[in-house]
Amino acid sequence: MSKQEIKKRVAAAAAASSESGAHPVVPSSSVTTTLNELYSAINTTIADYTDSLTPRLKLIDSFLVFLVALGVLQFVYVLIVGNFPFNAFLAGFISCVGQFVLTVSLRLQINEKNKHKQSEKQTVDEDEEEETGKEETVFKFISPERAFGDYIFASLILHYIVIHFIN
Amino acid sequence: MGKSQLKVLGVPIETIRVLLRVIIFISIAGAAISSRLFSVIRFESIIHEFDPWFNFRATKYLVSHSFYEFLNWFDDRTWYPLGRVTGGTLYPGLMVTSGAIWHILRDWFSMPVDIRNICVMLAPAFSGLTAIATYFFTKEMKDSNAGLLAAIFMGIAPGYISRSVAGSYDNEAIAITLLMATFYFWIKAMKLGSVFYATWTALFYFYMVSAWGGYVFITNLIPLHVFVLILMGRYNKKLYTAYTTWYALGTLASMQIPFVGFLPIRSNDHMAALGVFGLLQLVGVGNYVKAQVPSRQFKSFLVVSLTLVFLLGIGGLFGLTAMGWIAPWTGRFYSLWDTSYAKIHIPIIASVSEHQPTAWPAFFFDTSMLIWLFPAGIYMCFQELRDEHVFVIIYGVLCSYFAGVMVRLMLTLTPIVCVSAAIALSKLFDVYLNIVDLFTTTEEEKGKKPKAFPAAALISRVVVLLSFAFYLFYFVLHCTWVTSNAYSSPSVVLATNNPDGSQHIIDDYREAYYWLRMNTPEDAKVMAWWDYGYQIGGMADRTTLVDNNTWNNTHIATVGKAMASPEEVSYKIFRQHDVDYVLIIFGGLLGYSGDDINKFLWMVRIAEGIWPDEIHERDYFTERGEYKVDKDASKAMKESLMYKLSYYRFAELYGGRDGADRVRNQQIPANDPPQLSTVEEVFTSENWIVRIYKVKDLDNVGRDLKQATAFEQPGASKKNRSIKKPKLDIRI
Amino acid sequence: MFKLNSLLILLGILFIVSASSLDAIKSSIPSSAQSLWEIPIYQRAVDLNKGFVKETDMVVLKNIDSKPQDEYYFLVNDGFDSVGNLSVFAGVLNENQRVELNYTEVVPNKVFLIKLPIPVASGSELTLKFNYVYADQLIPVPKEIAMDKIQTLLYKTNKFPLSPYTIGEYTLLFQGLTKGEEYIIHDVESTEGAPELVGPQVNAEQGLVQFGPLKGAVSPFTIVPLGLKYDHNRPLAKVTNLFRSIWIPASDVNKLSIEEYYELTNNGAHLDTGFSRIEWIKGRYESQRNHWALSHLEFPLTKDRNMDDYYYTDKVGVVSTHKLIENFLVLKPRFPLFGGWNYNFTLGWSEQLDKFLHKLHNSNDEYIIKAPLLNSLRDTSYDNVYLQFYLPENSEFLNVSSPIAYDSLEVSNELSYLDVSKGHVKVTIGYKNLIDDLYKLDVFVKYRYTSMDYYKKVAKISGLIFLALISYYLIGLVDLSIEKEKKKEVNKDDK
Repeated sequence: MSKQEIKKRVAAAAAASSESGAHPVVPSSSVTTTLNELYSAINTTIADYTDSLTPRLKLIDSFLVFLVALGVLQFVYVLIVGNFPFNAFLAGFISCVGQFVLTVSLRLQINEKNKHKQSEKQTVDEDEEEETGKEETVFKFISPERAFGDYIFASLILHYIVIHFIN
Repeated sequence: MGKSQLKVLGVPIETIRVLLRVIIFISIAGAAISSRLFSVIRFESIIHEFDPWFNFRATKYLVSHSFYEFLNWFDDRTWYPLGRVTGGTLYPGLMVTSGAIWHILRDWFSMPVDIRNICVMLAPAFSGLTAIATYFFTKEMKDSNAGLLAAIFMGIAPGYISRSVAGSYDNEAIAITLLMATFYFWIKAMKLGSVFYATWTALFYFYMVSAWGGYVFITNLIPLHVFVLILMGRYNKKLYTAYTTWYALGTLASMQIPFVGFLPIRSNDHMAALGVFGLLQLVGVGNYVKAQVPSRQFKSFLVVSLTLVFLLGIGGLFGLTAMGWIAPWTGRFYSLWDTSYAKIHIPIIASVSEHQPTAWPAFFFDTSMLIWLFPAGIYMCFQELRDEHVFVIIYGVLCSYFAGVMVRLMLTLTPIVCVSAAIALSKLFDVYLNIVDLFTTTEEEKGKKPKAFPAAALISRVVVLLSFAFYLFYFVLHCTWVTSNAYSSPSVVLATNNPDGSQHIIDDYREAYYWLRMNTPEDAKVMAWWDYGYQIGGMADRTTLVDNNTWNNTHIATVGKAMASPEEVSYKIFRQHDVDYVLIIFGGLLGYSGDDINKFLWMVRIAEGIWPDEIHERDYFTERGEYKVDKDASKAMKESLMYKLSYYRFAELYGGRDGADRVRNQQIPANDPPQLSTVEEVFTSENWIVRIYKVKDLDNVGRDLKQATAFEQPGASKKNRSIKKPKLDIRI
Repeated sequence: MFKLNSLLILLGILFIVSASSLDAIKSSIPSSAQSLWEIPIYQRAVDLNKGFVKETDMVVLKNIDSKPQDEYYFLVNDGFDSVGNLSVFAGVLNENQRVELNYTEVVPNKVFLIKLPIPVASGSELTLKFNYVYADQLIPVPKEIAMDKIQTLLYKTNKFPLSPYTIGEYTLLFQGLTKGEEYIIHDVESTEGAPELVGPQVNAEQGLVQFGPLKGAVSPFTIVPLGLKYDHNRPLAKVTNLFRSIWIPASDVNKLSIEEYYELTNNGAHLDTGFSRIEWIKGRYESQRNHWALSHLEFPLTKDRNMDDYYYTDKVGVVSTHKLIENFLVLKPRFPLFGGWNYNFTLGWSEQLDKFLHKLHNSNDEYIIKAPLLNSLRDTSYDNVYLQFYLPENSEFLNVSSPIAYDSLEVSNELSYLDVSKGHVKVTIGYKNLIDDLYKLDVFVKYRYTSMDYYKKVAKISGLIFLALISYYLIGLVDLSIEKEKKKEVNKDDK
């Protein structure tokens, strides 16, 4: 499953780069360097990502991919067939988006790293964090269990509304 | 104040603190509620003003029908002959709230309270909740001391009371509570990054959407907050979690309200939120990447992707707007930025007094001392400048501007004024009240070694504290005074004092409305200026042509034209619209300035907007450009139906002398009384405030009504009606 | 001319109806009964002071049969449907006012078969007095008048008494007539050969107009229509529906709440144009109180009934125009009521319960509640009156005793404040065609309400509150436990 994710990321990055390459504002000399840097950045990110992957995160990520795919599918369907029951489409689409952001939030909150560093640096106030990627202490008030509870709560409400909206 | 270990009478001081806090809460809520009851005590439990009458009527419909019938309610008793899709064009939050309270009280507590009383008391009850929500909100900003101050400010600030006295059963009554609750949960969610609180934010946002059109304020303020935080480089994952959760849930939920429908994805008012949502996704990815790669690489990554997204976003927005998928900003929105926009383009919006720009004294009148503590509070926020302070600052700045543009937006400014004033004041007290600690320690030490008594410091502190105590005291007095004098009149009922000091109630509105209700056919159509539409619907229970919903400008202009035209033209309009009765408000006898003659120019203007060749505003002024109703009045004025209906037989009251119009201080000539031929007077209230005329049927001999009236005037031959032949007279 | 024609046609139809109704009256009386009695003296007094007609007939009977008789037919003096539904009918022995006569209605509102308390011996005489009242038969003529005109009413009656018996001496007396004239009724045929009634003799000061006395036989079923058009410059107040609710408290509060909802109208003349406030002001009708528009409602108060906590509202809120002056409660409707105008309002107040509630001696949980049939609103007639007793929750309705016959009786339940079971027991007693004088009559309702019932209710309410608090506490507990479980689950997932 992680391979898929990587593939998708790469594809997205490639798409982004190709578009950016076509952009006229950026001077051509810097384009190549920019592209290179972009590639290396993406590669590092992916590497880092695969490093940090745990089975649980994997599960979450695959769910995310599924949601994105579902959303894209619906969008494509609308583009092709038309958006007749507009609210049904909206409900379906937004449920994907909503579930996606909720899951991302969950992922952010229960990320193992967050938890580890949280125990180390409990004294750090969230205001004092610098741009050094130390936002791990961000969710110091939220335990993974709590996060999962919240996630279920929010998802329940989301789908309740969706069901109400769809008909 | 770290005395948490102390015990008083064996009870931990924390417990006492909690207890005290609860007691303070209860008294604040009590103060908030009771200060709103002036009108109930002075008058009665009655719905006020205009819009609340519609809400009341809708609530009555809701409790007597099912919820689904309510949502699908098509009201054929307004906007005759068009009708109004009421269920789909209202914010149901208010009605559903009071309907739910009614059901709960009746079914669970076996308290079959009259729905009217629930509607009347809803606003005060919610004001108590607002105070509590404000407490929590301010507590997030500073501490619970500031929270309590803010709560009491919120409870009695006249700016909020103006919209929430008992009987003021309007959307704002619950909307401000929801506004504060939503903001509280947002701040909480943002601080903790909690999905849970973000969900609550979304739920309260949904409630807010269902209750008030002003929800757009939240829709824009929260994204703006997030946007500013991102610009300040304060993005973090908590922000992502809170915002995306709120947006996804909130947007979906807000679309459940029929009146809102697909607006959140169609109208420009809501696009900022969507934009920030997208931006956050990108920033989120960017941030993730940033954490992994060197900053130089990241910079180029950032530049490329940002330009791309920006161009795409703007392009898409323009494209969609141009294609008509996204509605451009609404008129009210434009009038917020350009104060003269409404006057030129939408006279209806401009004609409402609460849409006028605010006069300066109003700020002091409505918030008293808080208004000068407000900047101090904002300054305090700048000093600390945590994420939530940014929110207060943005809110404060935006609302100050809005409140300056429109009187009614004073309402949204008031909470933040209370909050920042409380922050400022509590900071001040924090500093100056330390005296207590200082003083007690000196006293303890006195016995051991005499120490210089800090007289100067003490005096200065005492002076400051006393002066602020005085200000606070004065503030309470001011609030009470303002509430009692300015905001507690139901406007349906007027009160004056008799020479002996006793209260005299002027009840003309209800007199006339009740007359309509009792003595006209149930399906009679009443034409009146739109201000009175809701009241006629609510109290007289008769079909109206236009009402305060103002959704159809042309229809309103038609009524304006009928009022502004000569009788013959108006009569055609009457016949076309099946009008049975014409109702006007006339304050000339009593000196009641909110009457139709004073609103007449707006009628003319609105009518002119649709029929520029038939109605000209200029014609209604004298040659010297004055607005006159006396003998100098212009021809168009004197011939207009409104003039005639207002002054019909008015001068007779003065027994041959000229009639005195006490509103405009002009003389109504007695020698040239207005003649009516197409309508006849059927009712005039005791103080002449409401005058009702019946539209005559077509003459059955086929004459036009003017001839017919002339024929029936005294002097023309009288009909012989008597058929009796007395055989035996027993006259005494 | 057009109007006149249609009027004639209308009256013609009426005539056909009336003719048949006279036949019905005649046929309801056995012809043998007609020769049993003779009436030596018949005196009619018609009181037109109020907005309805009160007639008092003094009849001297003489048995001309050979056997003692105890059945006598009394006919309402009509013959051509000029009298509608009767509000009150009562007959008494003249010597002793207390003895009320029993009767059966042979033809409703028209023919009464009187059962005399003792048979009257052949040849002897007996004096009876009959009272009856009817509303709705006074018609303003003309129907529409200007505001400054005086209202004239048309009263139609039979100039002679309608009786199956021969009458010796006859007098007809009108009271409350200050100014009037005779009005010819075209559509009713007079009985041929009817004697000429002398009159009228007018006594202007007392407002009396007398016809007769006529000496000489008046034959049975003589009809000579008499139309009387007279000035009556007072409103014809009519309450189409009156709901009188009497709330009996469950506890020992000495307070009886009464609330009345009136649907009031004025049956008098209509305005010929729209209502013009300027004319109303110019005429000073408001202050003079001598106008046919109904602008004041007067409730006379007695000593023990002060109504000082009354409230006066209508469907749009409190009405501020009311006053307690001396022995009157004066309510002013929001607007003066001209003919055909309506006004609905609510009047409520409370009384001391012990004046109305009586506990039965022989039983300790049976009560009798007494309530006047009507409020004391002056000069008014009522179409439908619903007397609603709200007995305490869980009480048992036993019976009702009414001084006049009621039209309907219904026992139902209505949920009110703090009703935790079926609700208050609501006993609705319906009456038709009442007049203001009847406010002196009391209706009695007997019910059973044990103190057990009361304590049961109190216990139930407090129990429910207790339950609510307990469940609140329990919910608090439950919430926590769910959290824990959830956490446990998550923990399991972790492992």
